[in-house]
Order: sequence, then structure tokens, then C-alpha cells
Amino acid sequence: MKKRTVNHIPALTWNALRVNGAVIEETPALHPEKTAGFGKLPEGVSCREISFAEALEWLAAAAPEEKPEAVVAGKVPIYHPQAFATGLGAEFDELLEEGGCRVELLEIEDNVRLTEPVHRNLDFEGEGNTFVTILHVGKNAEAVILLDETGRDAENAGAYISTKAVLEEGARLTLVKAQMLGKGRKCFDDTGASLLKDASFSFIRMDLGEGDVYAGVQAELVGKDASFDAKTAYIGRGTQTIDLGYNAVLRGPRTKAEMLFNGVLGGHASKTLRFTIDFRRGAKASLGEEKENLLVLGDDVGIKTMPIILCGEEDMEGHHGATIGQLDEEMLFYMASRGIDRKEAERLMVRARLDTVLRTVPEGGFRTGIAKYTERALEA
Amino acid sequence: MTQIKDIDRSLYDFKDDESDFYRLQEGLTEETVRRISGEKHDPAWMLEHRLRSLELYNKIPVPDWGPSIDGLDMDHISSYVRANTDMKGTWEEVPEDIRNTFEKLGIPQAERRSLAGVGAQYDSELVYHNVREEVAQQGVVYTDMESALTGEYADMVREHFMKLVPPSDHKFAALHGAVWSGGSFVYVPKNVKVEIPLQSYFRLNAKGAGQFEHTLIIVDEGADLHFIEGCSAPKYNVANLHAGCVELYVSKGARLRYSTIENWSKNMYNLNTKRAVVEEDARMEWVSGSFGSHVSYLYPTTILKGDRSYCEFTGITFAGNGQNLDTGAKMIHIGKDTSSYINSKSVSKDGGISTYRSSIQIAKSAKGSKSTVDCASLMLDDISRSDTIPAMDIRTMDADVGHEAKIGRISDEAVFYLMSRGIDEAQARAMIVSGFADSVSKELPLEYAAEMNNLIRLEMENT
Repeated sequence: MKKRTVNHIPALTWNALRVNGAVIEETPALHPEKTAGFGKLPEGVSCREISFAEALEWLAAAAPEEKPEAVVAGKVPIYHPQAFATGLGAEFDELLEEGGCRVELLEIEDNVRLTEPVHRNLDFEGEGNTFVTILHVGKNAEAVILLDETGRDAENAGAYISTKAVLEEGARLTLVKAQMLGKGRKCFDDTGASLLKDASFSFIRMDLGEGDVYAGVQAELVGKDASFDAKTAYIGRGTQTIDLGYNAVLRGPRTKAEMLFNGVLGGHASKTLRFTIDFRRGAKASLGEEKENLLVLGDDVGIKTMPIILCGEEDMEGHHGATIGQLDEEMLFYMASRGIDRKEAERLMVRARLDTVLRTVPEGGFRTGIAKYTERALEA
Repeated sequence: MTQIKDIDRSLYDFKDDESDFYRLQEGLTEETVRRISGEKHDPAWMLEHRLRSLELYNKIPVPDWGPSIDGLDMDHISSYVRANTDMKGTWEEVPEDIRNTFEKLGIPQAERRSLAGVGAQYDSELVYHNVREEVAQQGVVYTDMESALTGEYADMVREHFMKLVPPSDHKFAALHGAVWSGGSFVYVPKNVKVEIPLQSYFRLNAKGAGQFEHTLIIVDEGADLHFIEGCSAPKYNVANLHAGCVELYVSKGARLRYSTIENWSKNMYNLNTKRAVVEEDARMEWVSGSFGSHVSYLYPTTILKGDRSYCEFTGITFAGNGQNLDTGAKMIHIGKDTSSYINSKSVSKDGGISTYRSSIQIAKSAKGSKSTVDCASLMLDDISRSDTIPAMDIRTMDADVGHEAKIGRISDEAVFYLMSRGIDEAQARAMIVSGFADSVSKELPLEYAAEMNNLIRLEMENT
């Protein structure tokens, strides 16, 4: 079995820390069989299947040009070459291609503003376990795409999801991914987006399932005034591995990226979070902000965090912050004085962290489903 | 339009004739290592250590994660250059040209004014070492490493030498283990407080040479020391190398402050390793100013081994034209209720690259530990780079870790405000940068803070 590295950081650090990328020794079998599609699509939206090679060719035309100054600190290779950059990276694309995956190209025509979200349940109970999609959001089009990833406990079962989005000028896309897979499933969920002028990409991710997860996002803010907003909540328990890699690459002037991670870790779970804001030369008057809040509830956890800022542009502002710790004793005392015991206080604080992200999910059955799943997870 | 010129280094950029110096042939072989060992009359264990280190050096790959060191070719570096003198105890005995060098750098003056002892290294060997009588009477040992290897403290040196930084740690630790020469040994006995600092100054005069000094400091229980390290070199058009090693042992209840103003010339590859182990209730303080070098890899590491041990790192890096400075700190929490604080600043200008790199590791045993990192970077133009690459690895729930970083440029409003009060733009920008560095300079003794501010002023001159 070929080892693969996913979630590379864009600037390497000490190898001994083992954070430069996630090395996957073994991946569960891929089943590229056809899965349930998007169903009936609204007017102005179409979906067709293309081969992986066609998809790469289609994406290459939409990918931003990599310039020589991409080499950070005079050392190569820093940026891992990929036809269209994603969080998990080129080796995940290779895996999908070798596995014979086909690609669905969902296109939203120019100026089409969908009033209702497009919802798709990625059900991993069926034969297929790969969902590879390209979203093409036309000029000034607007869409909300909801993907819930579900499947009961299953030993050594894989879930392979790849979503690449091309946002044309003025396009607005909200992409919500709610991962609620059962124990024993290993989820690989990759996202990449390229944003032209005035485009806006809002990405919401909730990792609530009980299996291992490797998820990555890369947003390329190419055009002037493009913006990327990522909100992620996760809960790790048991012996879960959660490995997240987010990169926001600010290339155009007055671009803006904000990333928030709210997490809870207990039991023997381990979490690695790599998040980068990368200001390229030319990203004048741009802003980047990244923040992590992690509540630790177990004493046998493993936490690795890398909040990176890379900067080749003078006229910008970048901030990052991370707070990692357990429940504050003073707060617990305050709660106790109001008759709330430690367990209940923990539950409240966990819910508060998850709710901050859940509240940003569009209202409706989809959100209610996630909320119910979350409640069940908290009960357990 | 603001134009920022390169630093005027005439203060540091002067060379002495080295025609009568002893110089080993360039390149690194077993023969080189044996000859250095012979020159220094090493005990047998040290020769063995050197040869083992050389083997490791040949096996360990060059780091794949930092700035490029492709321009460094060990086949063109002489590992040992000795001036035609031995170590002296008074400045009058030091040969005139070398004495003049240190006079220009202000070392004898500083010793008279405000230091408890000075060691001055010129190329591969110390040429001057002295400690004040009253400090020696307290039992403080401050001597050159070679004397320490065979003198009264030989066993202590052997017990500690390259135990904190083993040659297997990385390629340049192995190189250091093989060819080290010079440096100082300090021992501060129990409960002795050294009121004024000790200083070592390292000057690399030789072209195409390496300096590999070893500093070993042991601060015994309840003792207190401030040690200052300075360094400089004239600029050549070929690469020079500094791969020193600093090992600091801070015993129970002791305090050690280690301050460095690094001002190597811009042809220098500064691949230095510094590490401290801190015992129960002890305190380690690093103050670091990195101004020189072509390429730097510098991350002082602190192992907070004892319960309630504490470490503070305060540093500034100023990367100008042709410089790629990769600096930061590492903290390893092992004891309970340990605390660390990193306050790092960096400035990039004129095409310089500054990278802040750090790691915070909190072991499962380090219950009740706290760590805070605060780093800020200032970009002075749009042809420079500034990167922040921190890592945290936490293995217990009972820890509080905070990390804040910000990166930006000098605000137009601040410059405008100062200009509206009659200050010209260049001065205004220099003042803002000095203010930015204030948290570092205020941690230094007055004379050194003045030197650092002078370096900043030179860097900002003619803006």
C-alpha cells in the first residue's frame, strides 16, 4: 500500500514535530460506483458527469497562476504542485484518479440566485464511497450547497469526498459540510476554491462523527475584493484522529479571509490543525484573521496546532490567535453556585462552542438534523 | 518616497592581517578533526567525541525546512584559525592589532565600566579572559573551555558537555561536536548572586573560516547570573560559518539571564544551537537581538524540567537586504506548574526575509502548565517577506496555552501624527521601529540597549 501525505503545510517546519503533513499509511478501499446524485435541480442549474482527466483539464484553466515568489524562505518545494489547489493536496487527487473516480460537474448559470439551498445527503451505506464534485458558480450567481455525510458504524470503511469550486466574478457560494459518520469509518474530505473579483465563499464544516477524519480546504482569493469565511466546529472523542488543514491564499487586492475553529477534545482523541493565511505580493489592503478555541476535556489527548501566517506583501493586516485549555475553574465555581454540576457545565460549554458554528448553518431541516445528531453525541 | 539604505557597518567592518596566523586547510576530514584535537591537547574522551560527531555529521542530512544554505560549502571553510598569541589575562598583553580590534568594539571599556568578567575570542581561540577579583572570591568560575576540560572542574565539564545538545541532534550540532574550539565555562556556586554581568565576545576575523565556540554555564542552586554574549565579523565576499553551541544548566531555585546581541556580517551563515534545562523553581530568561548574518537558524530551546520552573524569551530580529533570518524559540514543558512566555518581534525591510518559528511542547506530566506566545512582525516595504510558523503540541488537558500573532506595516496615521509635530518622515519611521523594539531593549543593560538602538538607527538611516 502506497503511503500518502495529505494536509501539507505550505511552509515546512521541524520534521521531528511530525506536523508538516499527515502521513496516511493505509487507506480503505475506494468504491467509485455511481452514487445518488443531486436529484431534481432548480432552473439554471445543471449537472453532468465527466472523467477525472477532463475534470483536471477543466480545473487547470480556472486555477491561479503560481508565481516565483511562491517559494517561501528561499526553500523548495514549499507549494506542492497541484492542478487546482485543495487542502488535502495532490496526493489525494492521485488516489481518486487511481481509484477510477468520475466527477460530477454542477454548474450554476450566470446571475442565477437560488432561493433554496441545494441539499445532498452523502450516504455511505450504499455501494459507492466516493463523491467527487466540481461546483461552477457563474457570474453574480448565488447558491447554498448543503452536504451531510452519513453512515452507520463500519469497520475500516472509507469515505472519499472532493469538492472543488470555481467562483466567477461576483459569485457567492455557501458550502456546508456536516460529517456525521459512524465509528470505524475513515473520512477524507477535500475542498478547494478559486475566487475571482468580488466573489465570496462561505465554508461551514462540522465534524461530529465518530471515525477518523482528514479534511482540508484551500481557498485562492484571486480577484480584487474576493472574500473567504470559514467556520469549523469539531468534537473528538474515543480514539479518534481529527486532522484538519486550511489554507487561505490572498492574491488579489482588498481580499479578506477569516477562519474560526471551535473544537472540543476528550477521551484519547487526537487533533492536528494546520491553518495558514498566505498573503501574496499584490494582495494590497488585504486582511486575514484566524482563530482557534479548543476546549480539552480528556487527559489523554493529543493536540497539535499550527497557526501560520506567510506574508510577501507590506500593505496588509494579519492576525492569529489560539486558546487551548480546559474549563475555567472560576466559571465552574460560578456554575456550581447556581446549582449546575461539572458534567452539566461541560455539556453547556461544549454545546456553546458547537452552536457558534451551527447557528451559521441556514435554518431548516438540515440544521435541525445536525442539531439532533449533536444532542445525541452530547448524551453519549 | 521613503528609501531605506543598508546598514553602515564600518563600526564592525574592519579586518586584521592574518598572514602569521595558524590556519588549518579548508575542508572537513578526519585528519582536520585529529589536528584540531592535537592543537588543543584534548583528553582522549574528547578526541573520541569529536570523531563520533564527525561520523554523525557525514550521515545527517541538511535540513529541508529552513532557509537555503546552498551557498555554504564546507570544502571552502577552514575550521580552525588561531592568531599568533595565547590567552592573556590583561589587555596590555594581548597583541596590539587584536587589542585594537576589541578596543574599537568597546569591549575593554565595557569591562571596566560594567562587567564582572570578560572572555574575548578571536577566530578559533580566546585571546583574553579575566574575571573580577571579588567575583572570583565568591567562588565563581569563569574560564576558557580548554582550561576547564583539564582543570579542577574537568569531571563537571565532562558530565555536562554536549549532553543537552547531543551531536546527533542535527547536522550542525554534529559539526560543532567535531570541530569545536574556544568558548567559556562558567560555574556559579550555590546561593551566589553575581551582581553585574559576565560577557563573552566572539570576533571572527578570518576570511572563509568557521567559528565553533562552546559555552557551558552551570548555575547552582539558588544562584543568580546574567551572561551577555556579543559577536561580530568583517564582511567578506565568501561564506563564513558560525556553528557555536550554548548549554545552560539552571539548578533548583536559580536564575539565569542570557542576553545576546548578534551582529555578524552579511556573509555569515549563523547555524547556532542554544539550549537550557531549568530545574525546580528556577528561572531562565533569554534576551536576543538578531541583526546580522546572511542566513540564521536560531531557536534557543528551554527544557522546563523542574516543577514550577519558568522561562521567558524576549527577542527581536531585523532582516535587511540579502538576509534570511529564521529565528524563534522552543519551549518544552515537563515539570508540573511550569510557565513559559515568548515575546518576539521582527522587522523586514529592503528585500530581507524574517521568519518566526517556534514550538511549544507540553508533556503529559506538565500538569498545570501555562504558555503564552506573543509575536509581532513589521513589514517596511513590499519587496520583503515575513513569515510566522509556530507549532504547539499539547498532551495534557491541564494546561493553558495562548498564542497571539500579528503582522502589519507602519501605520500612515502614526507617521502623519509624528510629522504633524515637526518630526520628519525618516525620523518618525525610525522612532516607530524603535518603539516597536522597546520591549526587547528595555530588557538589556543600558549600554547594550544603547547598542541595539544604535543598530536600529543605522538600519533606518536615510529613510
